[in-house]
Amino acid sequence: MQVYLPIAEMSVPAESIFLVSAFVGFLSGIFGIGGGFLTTPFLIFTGIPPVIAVGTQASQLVASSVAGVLGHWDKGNVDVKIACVMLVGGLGGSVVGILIFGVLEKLGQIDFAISILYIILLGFIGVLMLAESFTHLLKPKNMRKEFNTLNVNSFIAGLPYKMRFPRSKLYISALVPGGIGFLGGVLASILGVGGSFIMVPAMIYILGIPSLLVAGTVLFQMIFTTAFATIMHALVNQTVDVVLAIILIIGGVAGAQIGITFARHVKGIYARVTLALIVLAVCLQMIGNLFIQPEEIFSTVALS
Amino acid sequence: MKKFLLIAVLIFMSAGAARAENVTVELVSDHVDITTGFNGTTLGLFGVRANKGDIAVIVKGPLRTMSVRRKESVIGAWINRSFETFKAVPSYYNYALSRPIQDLAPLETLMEHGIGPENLRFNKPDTTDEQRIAFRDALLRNKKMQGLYPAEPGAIKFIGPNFFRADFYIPANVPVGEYEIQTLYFSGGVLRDSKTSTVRVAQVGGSARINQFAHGNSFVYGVMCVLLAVFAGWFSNRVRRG
Repeated sequence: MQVYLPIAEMSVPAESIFLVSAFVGFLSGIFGIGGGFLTTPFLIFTGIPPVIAVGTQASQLVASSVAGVLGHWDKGNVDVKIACVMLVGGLGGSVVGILIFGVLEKLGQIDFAISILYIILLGFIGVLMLAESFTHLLKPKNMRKEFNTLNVNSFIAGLPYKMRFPRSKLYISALVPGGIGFLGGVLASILGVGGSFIMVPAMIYILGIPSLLVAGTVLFQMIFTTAFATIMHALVNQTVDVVLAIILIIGGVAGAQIGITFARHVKGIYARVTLALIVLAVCLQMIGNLFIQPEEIFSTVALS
Repeated sequence: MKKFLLIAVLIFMSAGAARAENVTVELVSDHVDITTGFNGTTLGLFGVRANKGDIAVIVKGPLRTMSVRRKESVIGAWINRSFETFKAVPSYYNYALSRPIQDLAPLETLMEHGIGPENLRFNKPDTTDEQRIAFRDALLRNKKMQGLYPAEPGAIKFIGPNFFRADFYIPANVPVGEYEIQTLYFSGGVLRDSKTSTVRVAQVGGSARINQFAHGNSFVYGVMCVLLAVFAGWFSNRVRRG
């Protein structure tokens, strides 16, 4: 069924977009990830302009982070104070990201920038996850130790603007959570991803937040960063397509529901290896797209 | 002698009148409505010619300035390196002819009136710059691939000896705006008459209201999208818990 998108001003096959968002929702139900890193490239591949894919995906991320955070909130697994500090950085990061996005689009290099950023991020995360899973499989007890020996602690301890975060029992410079939030905000507005796949490891290994609080805290601040990114995209670029957003949200909600049921029957470690392999597959696909000579080396865009 | 002059004037006048009415056309519809379920449509035109001349019908979408980009290999990666800009490129183009293009009119006439995508104004051989020619060909190829330019001209279908119709497919990804439809009447390779009609391609109904609202009240629209997403997230959480 073709559905006409009023903002993108084009007609798209609704079923295939629905199926992809349901599949991504399924993954997010199992792994608790946002999955924007899979949806956005697909939307761009469908022919939806990158600006609209990214802007609309931001609103879908609002829905998935609200859905995800409620359970953590009820259990009290959200450090609101850290989340607020991260949010300050996150809002700054969103503004910077949207400005960078605009400049790159004018230069005609946004596709290249998106590809290269995805390749670096997905490659890094995929390899890290895979390595961690195997280490975990082989000698489960040594895993945490290895990461704690990372020599960033002395540098972080020297940073100014220290704050006390009672919920996480941390006394650390506000620049650390702020910086992590900033990075997340930039990623959210340039790539249309929530950025949890970079924020979660950073918070565990750099910030040292208790792992029980990680997911809830990231999701909580992500609601506001992605909501802000949505409004910015709508206001500055007019690139949030509500019809596309509805298809994505419904697909995501349905898929997540199936994923959560499914997750009860899978062993966590195998699920993580699978996710790592999916991430690496997407990464390889993007490397292929960038380095193999395309059939049509010309592309066109209307300037006015 | 006076009588002869009078007849000559009368013949001349009637010929003039006939020339002005060499072809008359009527559109099936003067608007294309893009609704949420829009999946392309057909634009139809009926016409009558006074004599056995040739007919060419041209449909042009709103003109755009197009940037064409070429990817080049930089350390193995294919990235956009060269750019060329083309002005006055019809966003949509289609045409139908009553006889093969090479028999219709001389090349200069085809170019003057933009008959055939190869003869459009932006496409004039005003340059020998090889790069520009390559980019121009790429633009045409790209438009054809998107279904916005035809690979072949359509046919003028004659229902009666002089009564004809032409149909143009408007694809789902069609740009909105004013479309110009020109009906040209040729005889002996010379343009004798032309008629211009316009068709408005626009979003209507819910689709149009969303578009207007998103552009007119961007901030409120953004906030509403966020509220919708928050509600959807909350709702899905409720469903999840049963």
